[in-house]
Amino acid sequence: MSKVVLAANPLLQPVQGIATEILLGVVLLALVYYIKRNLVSSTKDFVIANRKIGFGYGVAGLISIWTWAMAVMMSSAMTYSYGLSGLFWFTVPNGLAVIAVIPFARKVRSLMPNGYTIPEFVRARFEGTKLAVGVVILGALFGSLIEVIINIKGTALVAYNVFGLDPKVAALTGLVVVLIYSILGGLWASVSTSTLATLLHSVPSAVIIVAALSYAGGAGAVWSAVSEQGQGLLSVTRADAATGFGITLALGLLTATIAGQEFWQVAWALKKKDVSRTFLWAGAWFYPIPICLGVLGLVGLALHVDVNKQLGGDAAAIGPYLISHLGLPLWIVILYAVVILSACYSVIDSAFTAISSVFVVDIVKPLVPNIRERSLFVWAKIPMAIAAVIAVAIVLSGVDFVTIVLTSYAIRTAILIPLVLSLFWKRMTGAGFVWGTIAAIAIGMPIRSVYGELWGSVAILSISAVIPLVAGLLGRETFDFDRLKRVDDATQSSRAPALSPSAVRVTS
Amino acid sequence: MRGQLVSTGTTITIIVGLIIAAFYLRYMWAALQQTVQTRDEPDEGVDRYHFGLVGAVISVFASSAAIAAYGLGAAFLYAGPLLALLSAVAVARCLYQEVEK
Repeated sequence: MSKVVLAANPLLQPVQGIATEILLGVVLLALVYYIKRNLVSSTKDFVIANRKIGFGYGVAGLISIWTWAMAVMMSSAMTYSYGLSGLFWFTVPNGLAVIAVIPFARKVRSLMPNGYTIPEFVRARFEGTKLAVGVVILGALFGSLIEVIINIKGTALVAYNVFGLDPKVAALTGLVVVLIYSILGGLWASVSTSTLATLLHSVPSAVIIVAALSYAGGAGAVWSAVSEQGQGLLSVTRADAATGFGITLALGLLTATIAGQEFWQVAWALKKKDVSRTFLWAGAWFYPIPICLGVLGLVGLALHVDVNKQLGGDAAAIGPYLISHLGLPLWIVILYAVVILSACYSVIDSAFTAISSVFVVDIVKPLVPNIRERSLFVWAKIPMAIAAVIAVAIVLSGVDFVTIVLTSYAIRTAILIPLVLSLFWKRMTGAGFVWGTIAAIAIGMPIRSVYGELWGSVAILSISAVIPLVAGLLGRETFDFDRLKRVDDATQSSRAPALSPSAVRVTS
Repeated sequence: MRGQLVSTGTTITIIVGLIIAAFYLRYMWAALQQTVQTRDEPDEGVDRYHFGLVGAVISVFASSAAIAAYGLGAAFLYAGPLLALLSAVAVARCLYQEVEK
């Protein structure tokens, strides 16, 4: 190991970073152009892919949509920070969070076959409870905006660490590239480019890791060097990984998928027969990507990379740092950048589509029920551009976006259990949904700020469960789930989705 | 800096990866063509998949075992790249199934 010298690769230049971003964008754009010409001609095609996404595209699309840039880098970072326990607690809940969507996706698809968004479901389920719909819309929009911002920051991080490219230039370039192809193809663009991205996450990752092990002195040298350090680095049973981040991460991941519009829209966009198996296969075959890239964390440990001196205090930079300092061939370094950038792009385009569908179905359509299809199609694209402008303004200005993160986190965590109850419990009430969500945020967020994320999450989940349960048990309302089947297709009907008051009946 | 050369192991991984990528792209294109051709057909299927729970248990157990295996010996560090290649094969298989139907 002592013979390995970590030094910046002199061949890496900022211009290569920009060229990589743009070239990847051009390849994806060519694919989307074909998609646009052959599959996207209406709002329904744009926001829900006409509900025609098949098994293969569904699995590949979901894998890539769930492979955030930070996820790619954090698998290495958590291994570097906690050894194999870090990789275990980062990876296992990640795949499980996708698989956990199966019962909810299956249920929502059977209950409300013509659905598009979470707020639309809440509106139909609790007709007249506008506050609940408003809170859920806010949560969905902020949640998707956060995904755009975090992944555009991921783009900037890798472009800066690998190529020395100005992070602002990298962020702007990446966002423009994704915006162009997203506006062309909507959900079809997202799923098809994500399918290509899944190939870019898997095969190149294998090549990169085998090469990195070789340049780090070989697998034997790396393994021995980590083993000599002890501290349970080669064990998956270190408790500090679970308490340090694992349990909190697991809760956050479950919230992100089960209450995430990005996943609900795929559940509604898949062909009916493929819903369950698509989520299972996507979760199962997502696992190899972080497992593979986690090896870079072991290489970092073996080479005694100093988090403060060499990584600027950010463990997430371990992957980009090693790849650009191990002396690897230039094309392998660029391949690594492509893995990260494709992860960024696929999450951002999915978030753009989620924003678009919420805007069209839950804001434009209720306000203008008789809007013409052509106008609706145009309106579907506008929120993508608005989201891009907001995201780039936040990233370029360097303003702290903690408030948006906290708002998004609070709403998504608080609506998780009320949402689940809404799907499976006919006695769940609108009042229970609203007050459970509001009380959970009002009480849980202060607890989070005082006692930390774990206890804050536990408090929010507990309160958001207890209040709806009590309200439902004390009340006499029961909901006829069959009514949801009659909700109009929001982009095809000239009327706003609505249910008759008889959807809710009072039992004696 | 050792120029642009890579080890034998890396070269083998590249060759295997290229073969997998070729099949992946072929099936991806075929599935896309089929989607275009059948875009106006009604979707009348029913979700009857019942292996969700068993599949979840198997995948969680397998991924945990793969991570734990890294600690067993140096050779197991190559399990990650092998699984990543298998992931591409599995997705290519899903795309093929979409076409096969």
